[in-house]
Amino acid sequence: MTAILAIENYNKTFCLHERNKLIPSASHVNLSVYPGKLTALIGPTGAGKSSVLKGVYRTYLPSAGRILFRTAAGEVVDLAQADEHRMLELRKSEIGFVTQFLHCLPRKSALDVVAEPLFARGVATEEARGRAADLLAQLAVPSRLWNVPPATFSGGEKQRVNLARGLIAQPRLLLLDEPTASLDPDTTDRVVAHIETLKSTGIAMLAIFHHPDLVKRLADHVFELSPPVAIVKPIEEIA
Amino acid sequence: MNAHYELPLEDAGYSFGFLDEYAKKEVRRCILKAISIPGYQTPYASREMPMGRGFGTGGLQLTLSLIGEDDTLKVIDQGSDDSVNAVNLRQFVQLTCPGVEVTEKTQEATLIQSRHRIPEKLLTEQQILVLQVPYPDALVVVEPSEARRKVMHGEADYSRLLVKLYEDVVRFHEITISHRYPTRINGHYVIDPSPIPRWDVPRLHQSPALVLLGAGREKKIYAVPPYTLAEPLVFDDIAFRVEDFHDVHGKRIACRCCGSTVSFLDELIDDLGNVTHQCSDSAYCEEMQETISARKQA
Amino acid sequence: MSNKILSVRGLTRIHGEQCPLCISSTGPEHNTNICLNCGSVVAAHDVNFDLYRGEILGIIGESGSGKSSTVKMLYFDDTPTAGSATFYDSDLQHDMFALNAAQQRSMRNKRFGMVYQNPHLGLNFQISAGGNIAERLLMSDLKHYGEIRTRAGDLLVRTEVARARMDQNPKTFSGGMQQRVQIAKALATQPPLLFLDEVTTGLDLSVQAAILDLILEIQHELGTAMIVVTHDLGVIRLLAGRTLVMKHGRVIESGLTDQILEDPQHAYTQRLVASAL
Repeated sequence: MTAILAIENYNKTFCLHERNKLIPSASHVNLSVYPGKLTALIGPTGAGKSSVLKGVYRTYLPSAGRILFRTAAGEVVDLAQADEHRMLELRKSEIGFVTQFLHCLPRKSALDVVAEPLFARGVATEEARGRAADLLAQLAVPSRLWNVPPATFSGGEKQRVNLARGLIAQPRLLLLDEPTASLDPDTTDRVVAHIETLKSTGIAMLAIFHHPDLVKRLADHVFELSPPVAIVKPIEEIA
Repeated sequence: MNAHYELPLEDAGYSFGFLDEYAKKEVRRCILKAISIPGYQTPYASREMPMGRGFGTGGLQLTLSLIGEDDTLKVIDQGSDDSVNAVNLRQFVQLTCPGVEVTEKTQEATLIQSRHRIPEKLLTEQQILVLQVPYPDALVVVEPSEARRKVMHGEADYSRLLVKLYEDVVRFHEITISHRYPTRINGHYVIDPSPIPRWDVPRLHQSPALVLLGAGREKKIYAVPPYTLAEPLVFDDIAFRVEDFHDVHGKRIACRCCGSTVSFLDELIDDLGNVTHQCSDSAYCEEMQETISARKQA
Repeated sequence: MSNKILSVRGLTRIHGEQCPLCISSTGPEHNTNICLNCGSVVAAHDVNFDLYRGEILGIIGESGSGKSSTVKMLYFDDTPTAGSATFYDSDLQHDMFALNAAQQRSMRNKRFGMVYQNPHLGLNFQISAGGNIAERLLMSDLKHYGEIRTRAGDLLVRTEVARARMDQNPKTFSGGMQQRVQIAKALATQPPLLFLDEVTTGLDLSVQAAILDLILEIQHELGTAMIVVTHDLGVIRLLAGRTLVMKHGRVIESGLTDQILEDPQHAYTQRLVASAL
């Protein structure tokens, strides 16, 4: 089976100009993700797991390496080099990211926050809201909260809204950053079930789980990161 | 006017028509330009006349530049041949243009100079109407800068004028402009047709006679050529309305002198304090009265 | 139909007599906009970007960065010293600065919208709020009073200004409401491209949030492409998918907004992002 995502020698180092420092974030990452399968990233804190996800999504600009993505049209694109418009298109239609924290839009109801990726794809308002409601119900978000902006929700409730938003559009590649971190066991089980359903529809996933159990339950492939080697030399010349 | 006084033409060196021939030629060239660009305010070298600005010097210069010994002149002010200004202007022309005939009957005139009214009688292709204009530019109410007004005219951008009409309708449920109603000529330039009442504006449209407008103080000549579109500015769903001469019972008011129910009426208060109405166009009224008495005698 | 709506290349604006040293003696490395040789001000130099339909581009920078100058030129409020801009409209392409004044005015009325920071630049305070919107509709050849009324009223409702205030003069409105009227006016002709120049700067926070929200909703409904100029990172984060960072007239960095905010490359951008409260 061909990989939908192949990361080759991903390397990320931050250059902090003010302090004249190079901060390594991740290095020598090589892995693949396959349709319908989940690749888990494991390793200690600071090893760069989030960095890899952000590098794929282009929130971070990779310092080195290639991030090869096979689009729905069958084309292979190096996300590290893709132009911004391409990236925005792919984010809209093919690559989803469930971040660790929900970025709240003021005054938008939870229902609309979740339905937003569908609106962006042109799905009719009523239908999109309907699907959002279904998903929120599945994730045990009480219906009294659906028309309320999530800013006042608890951490766990926010995370479920975040998850719902990431899952609803069913992108071909889904990036998950500790999706069950603030959830109780019951809700965690529901999320796991949902992820398994998504897998069965052919969605590929690259995920970070905080609990080794979840890795066991869901991961088809595992990649272990070790903390990047600290760079001792100071910055010579920052262009 | 002193009957014994005659203009010493040789001593004073005045030419026929008071203005020298070069002045008249310049005015005529500007008239031709104005006719070629209907509604465009053509600048011209407006002369100092022996009367103050604001008394019809613009109209007068047009008349003097066009008039010849074969012409018959009629001068009216607010429709009346008898008003002081009309009399003065007429006598000035008689003084400086020996041989020119004058008349009060509209149909006899070849050249009609008027302040604030167009005669009731339909004019013919053989006649020229000269209107006296205080302010030529319809946009002056919305834009103080002349440079910007010129650009707006050039681009036929009258949206700000239309906004003014919009605000009128919003506040008063109708357009409240009574005279100087902005009118679009030949589909482009919007003119201020001088302080004629709304009643007269439709007469500019497809007029058989040439209509010339002269502003002496502002030094502009513009024209509505014969058989040209003259469309008062309105909205698609708000029609242009002329003055309404119906009384509270819905009956059309008649002139107290001639009984006409189709002419523009002036409202007057008689000595007893009653409100009465009379034709504004005095020549028209007299003719109607003559017709009536002729019928009575027959 | 190409997805691009605007293409800007080499856009430059220099105020003053200009000399050969102007460009090389100004910019972020020299920390100034002013040419040391002739005193000319290089407000913007060599600005390049593409904008696609429905996209929101943010331009962020501090005073003197050239962000407002850029947008002013694109809205024909100012003439560039050099550079070009192409507007893609259905199947047609327009070289914007080669158009004559009348064509530019027409494009401005019918295809662009602009919301200024100062409502006195965008609104006519001699007429009512509805009249302001009517003016734009009239400029685009709508001459039906009833329809103008309806559309102006609808736009004011949509921008959350009560229809009942339609006939009031914007002088009597709060700052936030004046901005809403500006937005309604800008959208009157349903332009495919909207310029927003520091539209929430100076407004109360709650009002800011409401207006930004409104802008987003409108963008979703109408698919309007936007260029949002601001010095506020929060506004950029909320609205813009892509961002340009400008300093002393130059674009020093450009990229996806989340990348600019989380992984800024240029020293100045890093300072800017770190300074956000």
